[in-house]
Amino acid sequence: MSCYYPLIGLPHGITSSVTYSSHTLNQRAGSSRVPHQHAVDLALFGVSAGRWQLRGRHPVGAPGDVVVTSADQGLAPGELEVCVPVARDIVLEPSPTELPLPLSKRIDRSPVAERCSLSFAWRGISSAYQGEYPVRMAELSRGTLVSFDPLLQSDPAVGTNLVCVVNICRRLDDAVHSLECFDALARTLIRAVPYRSNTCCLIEFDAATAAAGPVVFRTTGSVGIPIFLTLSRPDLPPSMSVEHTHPPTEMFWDHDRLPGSRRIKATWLSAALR
Amino acid sequence: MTSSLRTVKAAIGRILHRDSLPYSAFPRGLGGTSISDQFLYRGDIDASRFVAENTAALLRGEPVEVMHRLRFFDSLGRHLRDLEIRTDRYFQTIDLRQLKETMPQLEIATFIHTSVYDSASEPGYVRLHRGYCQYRRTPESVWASVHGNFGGIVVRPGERPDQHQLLARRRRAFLYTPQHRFEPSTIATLYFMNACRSPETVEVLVTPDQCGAPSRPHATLRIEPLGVGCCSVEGHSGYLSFRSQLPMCRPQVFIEDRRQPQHFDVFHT
Repeated sequence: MSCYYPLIGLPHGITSSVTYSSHTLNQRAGSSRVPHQHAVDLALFGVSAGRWQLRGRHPVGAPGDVVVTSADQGLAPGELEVCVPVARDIVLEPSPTELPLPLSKRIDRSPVAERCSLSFAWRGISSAYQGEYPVRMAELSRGTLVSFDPLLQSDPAVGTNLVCVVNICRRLDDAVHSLECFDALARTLIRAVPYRSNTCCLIEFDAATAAAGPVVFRTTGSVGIPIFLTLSRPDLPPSMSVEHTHPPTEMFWDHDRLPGSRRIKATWLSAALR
Repeated sequence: MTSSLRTVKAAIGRILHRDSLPYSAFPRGLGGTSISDQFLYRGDIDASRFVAENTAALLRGEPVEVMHRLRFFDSLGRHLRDLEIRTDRYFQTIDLRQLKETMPQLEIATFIHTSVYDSASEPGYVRLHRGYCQYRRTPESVWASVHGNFGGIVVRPGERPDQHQLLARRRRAFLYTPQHRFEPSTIATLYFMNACRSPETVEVLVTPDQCGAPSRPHATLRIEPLGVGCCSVEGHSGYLSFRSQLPMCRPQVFIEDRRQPQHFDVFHT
């Protein structure tokens, strides 16, 4: 499974970054104690004028890595660029209608999705996770998303919860979607946030709103990956947390993954709101 | 393609590529069970807590009573105690302070999550519990969250606390290199958990930063089934690799910076 890597623009002075290395993530060891190396380039694509635009191309040293940041790319909150590993000798079209397929660093059938380090820096601290956006998700121009709120925090130290729903669509479209957030018990709409494909839909919750939960997030417009950032209050020393939620398929084992996920999605996508 | 042909093709694929499967190729008797990831408890920080999902309630879209059971094991994988919470909420945050109060010397442990429903509420699917651990460095910090990473630990109602079916399988050795560049200004603590049936060894290697150079051994850990081993890395600039026969040798990593004593970062690799 090859993957894209999203670089996202965020508010509150948060800088996001993607660190992409030359190392194979997982491989059969044999007698080896050194990871296999790949001499690749990391290309950055953003959307403007209805096309993908090549915004940069960085060689990844072998061994080595490359770091790209939202600040260097000048991304405003909600803007998104897609990092695409490509072969060093490939000629890239500057304004393609669809993203090139990313190169894979796999060398055998060892398990684990291909990842990079997605990091978020704020007030001198940082938080990271190993993340990716699978190509098979980016191939979908339509889809649904249901997510819950286990990572929203309402403790006294919390200043802001920032929910970022990242959506990448390999083939561009102009559709405007709506992300609905609603109270799971009262079935009342809290907020409906419009967003376009290939952007990052941002929603903020203060501690009081998070405490009132439980909150459900849903859309029938696109697939996406929700990332939850929690920032401490501005009057406290800085601390933060970043993590993504599991999709509903991860709540079930093996053959039950799809039927279980479909039932959860059907339940919450059909919930009538007051 | 008919569904029976698909099943046969999938079975053949599992046999041919079983060395790449993290779990048993053909686990049996999983009906009515819940299967858990292996989670990390830390007693050496301000606080730890766990967010448990109520699968039946999420399936139905209405409150359903569940008993969440967290089962704790020491670093050698020996059963310590259970915590049980009854609730009908969609997600329940479970404070692990009571473990700290009764076992103040316990610095690290592992635990698994089981959900138990009345027979009328049983969801009818094999539930996978991959919840969220949260760790707080100081009372003035936000909680650092990390989701479940790997496990395949089967718990059946009525079984003894030391009886579990472990679906994870040791395989031929893998070399795993997380895509995280460690920075010299930080202290990284790596927690390796073993969800396999056999004790496993992990070699922690410093990845060379020059082509053709050998890796440098940093530590070797032996980890018992359901246990946990850890090591620290300080002042290192670059990458680490892990060589082991664990099918997913992905440690949970805490990154601390002495200049920021109220914050730490946690992620699984």
